[in-house]
Amino acid sequence: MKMKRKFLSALLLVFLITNIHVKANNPPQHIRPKSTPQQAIAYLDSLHHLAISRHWPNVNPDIFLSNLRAFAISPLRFYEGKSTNFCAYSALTYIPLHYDPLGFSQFMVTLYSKGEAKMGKVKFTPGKKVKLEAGLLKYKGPLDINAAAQMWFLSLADQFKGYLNIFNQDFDKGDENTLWAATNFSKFNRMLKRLFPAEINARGSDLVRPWLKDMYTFLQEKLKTGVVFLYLNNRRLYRKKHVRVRFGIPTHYVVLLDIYKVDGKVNIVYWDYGVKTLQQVSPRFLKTITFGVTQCILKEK
Amino acid sequence: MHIEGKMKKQLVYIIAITAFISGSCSYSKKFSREFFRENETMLNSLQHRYREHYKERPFSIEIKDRDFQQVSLEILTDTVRYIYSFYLDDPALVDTLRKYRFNISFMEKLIEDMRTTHCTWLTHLEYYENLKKQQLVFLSIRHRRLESFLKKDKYFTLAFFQYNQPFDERGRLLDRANKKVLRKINGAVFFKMTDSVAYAISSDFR
Repeated sequence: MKMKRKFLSALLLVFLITNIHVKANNPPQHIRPKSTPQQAIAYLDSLHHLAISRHWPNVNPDIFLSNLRAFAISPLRFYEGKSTNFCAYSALTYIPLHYDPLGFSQFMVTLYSKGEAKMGKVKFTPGKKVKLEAGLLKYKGPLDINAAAQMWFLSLADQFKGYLNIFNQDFDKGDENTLWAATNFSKFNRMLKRLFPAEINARGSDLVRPWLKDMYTFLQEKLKTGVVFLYLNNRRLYRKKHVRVRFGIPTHYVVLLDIYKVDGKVNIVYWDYGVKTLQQVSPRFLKTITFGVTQCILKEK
Repeated sequence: MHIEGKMKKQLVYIIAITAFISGSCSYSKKFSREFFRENETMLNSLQHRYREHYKERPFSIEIKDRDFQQVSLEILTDTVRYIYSFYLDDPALVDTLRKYRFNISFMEKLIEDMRTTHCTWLTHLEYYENLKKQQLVFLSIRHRRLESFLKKDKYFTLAFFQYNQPFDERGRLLDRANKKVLRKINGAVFFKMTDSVAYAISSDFR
């Protein structure tokens, strides 16, 4: 009896930790983008010139508009910045850049001009420190010259908080690299739910890998019906030192674009910001590094 | 008396540990200078050849193990970055180099020179100065002399700039656009090796 109770408690714990969502299979869905890059460009051209914003004093309006144009023309060039904790914010930006570039441009212009703007169910009202910092981030590679992306990342990090941000809630210089900007798995899913009209199916957690028999087939199936985000152990994906990692934890989000097998190995194609990446891994390695899978099925309104 | 003896002992330990740490720091510095002096010609040649080849075929190389048997190749095209891992004797390595139109003998020599110089990571970094894109060659050395029982996995990293860089009186690399600010690379402070080469002892190789 005792054993049975223990077993049930353990099962319940695993269930809670792994944050399992049981969903019926959705039919394949081909979402029509809400707007096109051409519409976004036409809108930005119609603005001609923006006055310098008193809310974002370090964001040059001309650079800002040219950044927004670049988002619309080549969305995959969008880059999180070197050594920052902005990967989660970059990952979710895939959705507005691909499915509503006009809406995203309009949102950004409003945020710039008025200092606040609404996206989905969220009204962004970034704090003063964040507004002063946008445009000043340095030594982050191409993010140095992308004031619009700096504004967007800092606003997102300022707006959304998870348990990883408990001890560092207020922005100070350099916090783009610290826990202030970090994103745990449930915060990531919450951001998606609140920002976009979408159904979110998530498997996994911050500490325990999802319980999947066949990760490869699972991911392939998920890709057929929605946008798929992976929450990965970055220390194994891109090794930075030669120590053997015993207790790996996930720290990186990417957008999975394709997955297929070649000679027993798995080729994963993912967007890791700035450029698409194709990496060849073993099925076992893929399973080891994947701690979370989020599928986002956009709803057409 | 007994307490006094205990305190003395503790003090000795503290001094010994401090001396060990500061000694190992200066040792790292000494190693960097010695290693660079001994291998300067090869390191310069390596970065120069890599820089030239990169213009035609952008790529990065990682030597993955201490025995220099496994290599990871990152090939950059306009739209995709390809990441492959191979054993050096795996025919798939040559097939892949051929597929992406690399000069195979050039690449073999480059990998061999990386092995000779204990280079574990060779890449190309972009950075910005006054909104203008600049480039540097970044390489990391993994050497047994930089490892100890207490401190594992230190890397001697080198940044080869295209032209001379500003340094402060302590030899720290400065931002060209604002000489009051230290220019960090991958989050680390870099020091002067030559006018256009800076180095750091880092816990990460990339």
